[in-house]
Amino acid sequence: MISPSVDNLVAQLTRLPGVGTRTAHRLAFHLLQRSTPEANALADAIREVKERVRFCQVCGNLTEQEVCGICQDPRRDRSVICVVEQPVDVVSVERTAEYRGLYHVLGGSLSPLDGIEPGDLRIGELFQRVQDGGVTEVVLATNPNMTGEATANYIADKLRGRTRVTRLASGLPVGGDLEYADEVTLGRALLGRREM
Amino acid sequence: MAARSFRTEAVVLRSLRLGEADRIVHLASLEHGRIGAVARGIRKTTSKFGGRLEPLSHVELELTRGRGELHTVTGVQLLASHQRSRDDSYRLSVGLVGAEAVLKLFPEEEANQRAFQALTRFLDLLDDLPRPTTADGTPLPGDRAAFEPLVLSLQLKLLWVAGYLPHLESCAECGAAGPLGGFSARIGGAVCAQHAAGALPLSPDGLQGMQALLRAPLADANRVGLTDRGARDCHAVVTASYEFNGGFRLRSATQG
Ligand SMILES: [Zn+2]
Ligand SMILES: [Zn+2]
Repeated sequence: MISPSVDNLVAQLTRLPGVGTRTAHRLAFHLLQRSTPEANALADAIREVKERVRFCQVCGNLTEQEVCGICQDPRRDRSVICVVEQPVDVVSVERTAEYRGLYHVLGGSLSPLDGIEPGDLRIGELFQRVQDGGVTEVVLATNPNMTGEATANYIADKLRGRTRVTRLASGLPVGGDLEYADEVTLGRALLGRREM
Repeated sequence: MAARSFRTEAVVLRSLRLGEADRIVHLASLEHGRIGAVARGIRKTTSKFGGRLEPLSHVELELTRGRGELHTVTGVQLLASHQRSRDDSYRLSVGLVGAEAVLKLFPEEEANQRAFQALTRFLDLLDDLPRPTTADGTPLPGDRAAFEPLVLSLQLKLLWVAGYLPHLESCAECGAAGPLGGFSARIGGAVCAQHAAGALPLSPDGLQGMQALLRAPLADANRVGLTDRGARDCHAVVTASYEFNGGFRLRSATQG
């Protein structure tokens, strides 16, 4: 108990992912030692991002407009939709420069134990986009873990017969040695082997 | 080496993201009961843990005792990945019911070998249980019925070893041999008509089904002849026992 304002700041900081009480205290003291303009710049940036940035009405990605730049880009292939869990995953796929289609951001993955069910994600919106027509392929790029796989399976089941559904291949990290691969990853890679 | 390091066999019940690249895994372990551990860096594609600590994985773990409640995972060997159960949405939903039941029924750091063995046996069976199909071999969509006896059998056995199901052979209140037409979670067993106030109705199918499931090994759950009515009663008994003894409902059981 130093002052109610510091306690409040620490409390707010601990709500951030990956920030425990000790880190929150460190951050709070760091902010206290900065100049007022510097600290205010952070507060302003948070306020601005909340005021200006919203979710794209089409794909759920982050944007400062109604519809994001990718959805508006006439050069993108509108017949392919890549489904990801979070906006940060859009950034990762874009970095590959291998993908020219559109995206759909779910906002998470299905996890019955945590009470996250289909209605809590933007799954209905995805089905609507497929329903609206013109989509020839849905690429499921959810994380290769239990909740990501469960989400991919759920969507694939629902879209079966309505459009082509593909899943990102699972395999070995490039640059790694086979002997260090775990059994599950190696097993997956074997299942997904391709003709050469 | 370090005295604070130890090994144990365990099943991953649940996995939660922590910070940038870590996960907290909730485990059922053979020697230490339920424990929690941090797997550092596991979400990085270069992690040495790889896919070995996904929920339902049966592993041999090397842990370092932490200062707080959480241990740290320092090594993992896979005993059974149960990838087959994770890859099939029905198998997975059934597997998660088993995992959640263990998670909620058993206290931390209290070994229960029978519960652990029931869980690992259940997961092995779940991998291999044939999925119901139509005549031409296409999987029946949305049909969990084929897995019902197995998952009910597991849950009854877990309630039994947790000490919440003491009595099904005679009235749990007065010892009368029967007829037993109700189940009382408060009394902890089947009850006769005189002691059935506030109890769940229990059909002969339900009572016989529960007795048979408790007597038979998990591997034979599908062969005890559980009827639809029996399965429904059984499910109601399990749900009521969770609510009364643990004050919880399974989240995973409400799906599908
Ligand atoms: Zn968009
Ligand atoms: Zn009685």
